[in-house]
Amino acid sequence: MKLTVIIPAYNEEKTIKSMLRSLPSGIKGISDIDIIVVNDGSTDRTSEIAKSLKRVIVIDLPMNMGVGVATRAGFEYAKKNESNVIITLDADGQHNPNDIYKIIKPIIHKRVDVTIGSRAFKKQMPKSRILGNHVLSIATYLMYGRYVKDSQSGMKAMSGAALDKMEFGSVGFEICSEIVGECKRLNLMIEEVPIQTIYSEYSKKKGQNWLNGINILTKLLLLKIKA
Amino acid sequence: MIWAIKIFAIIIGLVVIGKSLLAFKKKEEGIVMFLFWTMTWIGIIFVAIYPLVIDRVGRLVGDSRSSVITFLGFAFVFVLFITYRVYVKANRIEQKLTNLVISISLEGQPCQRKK
Repeated sequence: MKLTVIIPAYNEEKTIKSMLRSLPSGIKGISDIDIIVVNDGSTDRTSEIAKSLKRVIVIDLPMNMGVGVATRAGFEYAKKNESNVIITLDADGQHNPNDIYKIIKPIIHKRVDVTIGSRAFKKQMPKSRILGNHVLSIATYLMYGRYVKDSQSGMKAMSGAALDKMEFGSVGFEICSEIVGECKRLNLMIEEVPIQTIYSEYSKKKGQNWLNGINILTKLLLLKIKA
Repeated sequence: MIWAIKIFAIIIGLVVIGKSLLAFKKKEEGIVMFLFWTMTWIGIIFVAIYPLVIDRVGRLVGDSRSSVITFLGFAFVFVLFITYRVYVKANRIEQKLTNLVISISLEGQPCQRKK
């Protein structure tokens, strides 16, 4: 069974090396792992650093397009390479690599089509961000009719068959909600898996602010109108 | 309230003219577009300061019945139309650019994998 790990990255030279090195080289039930860093037009050494590491495939976008486009490029790669399981991770090191097996296990066992890593919104996370995440999860429910506790989580996994059926129009962070919307449209089974979040000063700084939240909401609305 | 609208229109008008002038100086915008936006916004500022000018124009063309309201109605529909056109075009370009960027970036992959 082939697994593709998609890591969209924009100016992540500080964390990309340690993040990639922390990824497991073998996972139970998986025979082949492709680690894909989609460099979203970074202006720092992100791409260079990722290319220097073994096992890593770097897809360079010619310009900064947004995390949605970077993720979609990774998805296209996974489709081309007929991956059985696809997982997306953030490049800022906020995800615990030990959670990878936890999140892909229900897909390997064909219990569900899509899993979403559900973060426990702990005290370390700023209250405004916790509120923003709840608002966006409710907005996702209102627009697509499917409620998930952490719709904006960057750690998601899906089967290759599910990905083949999905169609995306997102360019930015609204892709997180669009994945939930596609699950509803295609009647795919979702399971929310609790994951650990590693809060560092860097990952807190890199996270979304309320202005981005409004931007995501607007884009979600436009996506819904377009559909 | 009327004064607030006038001041708001003047500020917005000056900002747009200023931005257009900057774009023209940086050669991002041609002389025709620069003149078009400058004249348009000078006209908007003028109408905001002297709204009765619309009534006078209305009388000149033979229609004196609430010309200001009619003008505002037309202006609103025009703005909605322009917004719609800009949205449709921007959306189309964004989708085309996205598809192009993805296909360019995937050309020849996988090629950078080190075993």
